[in-house]
Amino acid sequence: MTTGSTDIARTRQGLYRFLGGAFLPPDAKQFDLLAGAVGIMADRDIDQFAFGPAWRRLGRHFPVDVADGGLDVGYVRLFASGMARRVSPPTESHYRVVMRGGEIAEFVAGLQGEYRSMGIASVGGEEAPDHISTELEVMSHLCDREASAWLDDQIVGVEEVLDLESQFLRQHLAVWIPPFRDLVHASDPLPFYLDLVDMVHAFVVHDRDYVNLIRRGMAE
Amino acid sequence: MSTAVFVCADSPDILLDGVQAEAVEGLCETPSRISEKLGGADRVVLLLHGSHYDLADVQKALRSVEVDPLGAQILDVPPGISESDLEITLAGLRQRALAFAGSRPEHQKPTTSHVFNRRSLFRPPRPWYRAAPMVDEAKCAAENGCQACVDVCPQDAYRWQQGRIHFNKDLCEPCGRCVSVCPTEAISNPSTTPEMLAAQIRALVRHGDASVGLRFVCSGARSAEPVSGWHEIVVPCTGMVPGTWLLTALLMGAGSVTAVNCTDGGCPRGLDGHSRTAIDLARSALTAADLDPDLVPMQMGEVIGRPIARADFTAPFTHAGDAEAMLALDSISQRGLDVTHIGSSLGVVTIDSESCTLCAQCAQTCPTTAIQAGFDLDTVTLSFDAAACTNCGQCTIACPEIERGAIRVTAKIDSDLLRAGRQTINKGIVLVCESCGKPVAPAPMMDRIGELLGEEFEDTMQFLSRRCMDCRGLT
Repeated sequence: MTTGSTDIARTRQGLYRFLGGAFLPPDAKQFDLLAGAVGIMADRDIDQFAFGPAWRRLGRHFPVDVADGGLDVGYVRLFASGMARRVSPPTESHYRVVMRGGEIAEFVAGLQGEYRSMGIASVGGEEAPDHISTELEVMSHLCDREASAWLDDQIVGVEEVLDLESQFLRQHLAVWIPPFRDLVHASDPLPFYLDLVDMVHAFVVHDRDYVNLIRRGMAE
Repeated sequence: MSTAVFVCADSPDILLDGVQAEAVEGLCETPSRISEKLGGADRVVLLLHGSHYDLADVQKALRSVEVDPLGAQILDVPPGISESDLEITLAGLRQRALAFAGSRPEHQKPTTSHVFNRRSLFRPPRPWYRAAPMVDEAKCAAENGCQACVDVCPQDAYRWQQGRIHFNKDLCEPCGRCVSVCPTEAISNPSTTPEMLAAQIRALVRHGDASVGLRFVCSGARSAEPVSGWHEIVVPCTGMVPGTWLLTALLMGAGSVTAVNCTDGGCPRGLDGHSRTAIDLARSALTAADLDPDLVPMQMGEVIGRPIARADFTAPFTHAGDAEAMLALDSISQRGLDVTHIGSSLGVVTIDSESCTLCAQCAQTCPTTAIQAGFDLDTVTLSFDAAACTNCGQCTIACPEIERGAIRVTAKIDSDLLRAGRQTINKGIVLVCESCGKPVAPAPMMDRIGELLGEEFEDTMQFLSRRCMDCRGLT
């Protein structure tokens, strides 16, 4: 059951990590790990939150047979090279810069500066700093710090991390995930990616509101 | 789509005979019990009793069976309600639940009823969710300068910046004012859509053997003592209900309609004046139509009137529906409605042709295209369609000659104008380029610029009036 603040932060950390992993190019080993995580999350009382139904719909896809389900082809078609179909790049700069005619390098460098200011030296693997997996992993890391602060009874530390989470969600994920979700829906994706993007949308929008609710509660 | 109706079997006050609902033991304390009985239904009506359930638990139970809680109709069954009234109420809730079109994540606003303390910080209360408004940017007229939502929001949750509306959900205490005022209907609240209100009201008036009374009530209000024959239409706050909605409900077949504030001590959002204004507008319109104003009583009474009509609406509880309602009222009275009232959600634009320069800023800004500008080779025409005007006043903000009284919007219902359709409200000559024959600018606009610049620039103005932009550099 997820009841205490530490548990909730750990659940959120797990969900961010899960979603970040699901947006990487599909790999059988990685998806086995994700299937295991779905089982663990079953005990986390996700239905208490508004994104519960979206999580249920996504969870039903697991276990996933990456090759048999055509997920690898579907991933490339949706996120990288759409051929006749539309492409939905899973990178923030596409929605914040390219669609408005700006400079990608400047935007990405600024984002890396933000990561450094949060004390994050290096995140993700081969993905770009503004790739959805990287940004979700950043949030996972912040939730991990938050959970540790709760565990250590460090209220000031909790407040500081919540401020960082709120800022990152407000300035990045919650801004570009809604148009990203709309573009994916218009791109005829595989059902798995449809449910994945719906879940990340529901979760990110909820988390922005939820983090602010807790911050307001602490301020009072 | 289908609706399942569950009633808590533990309530001693609910009369179960004749009510088509499945009784569930311990439903209030253990709402998860609906999962065993839901069948294939994706919409739910729950009849519960006030102090025995936790909304967070109920919503969680609904999510676990993938029913959107924002569309679920939950009735705190008022003690002592009669069986026949409960049946009619239930018919309305069923149809309202069926008309729910779903919500987006942006519509969910997490809320806790507890004040946080040090202990609850480590074990925070589980949130429950309210339906918050959401702006559809594709429909929003902010780019043209519209700030109607900014103007009416009692919590300052909206901000206009560089042609875009920024909505702060944290500040919003959903009242629905923005939803009912938005001229382009770009703002939605999934729990209170025009379709849901219409479906509920149609069902209520259809099921009553006798006349039914309808009272719009705030979602935060506790169930009042039931008064036989009166049924509740729940909205986020009665401050969102314009007078035209009260009349629409009446014209759909209700015997009487009113709006009730959530507390006797006044609306916490300060909107109680709005419901009084709405009722007053409805009464004024009824009086003007030679009908009994007490069909919309200031307070809910014992007596319910007889239905004056059962008009067919194509889009009730929308701006188009407001005009439809007034035309329906006018058809009954056959007198011609002419009501000027501060609460009118319909407006009438008038132009002072002496001071209007025909610059067409009003037409460019008008979010509903009630004002339009038409350009011929040598004339410009401003036209106005009263049925499309929402009395938002954006045209008066845009008008550069407003201080000279060039344009005026009156909160007014004028059935002759509504029926007349689009009418010309000003017309003038467009100066034509002496070199190429293209239009230069409306003559009154050039006259006004000349007037402002003075005699010193007379030659320049004469030149500018004779040459279009393209030809000015060639001479």
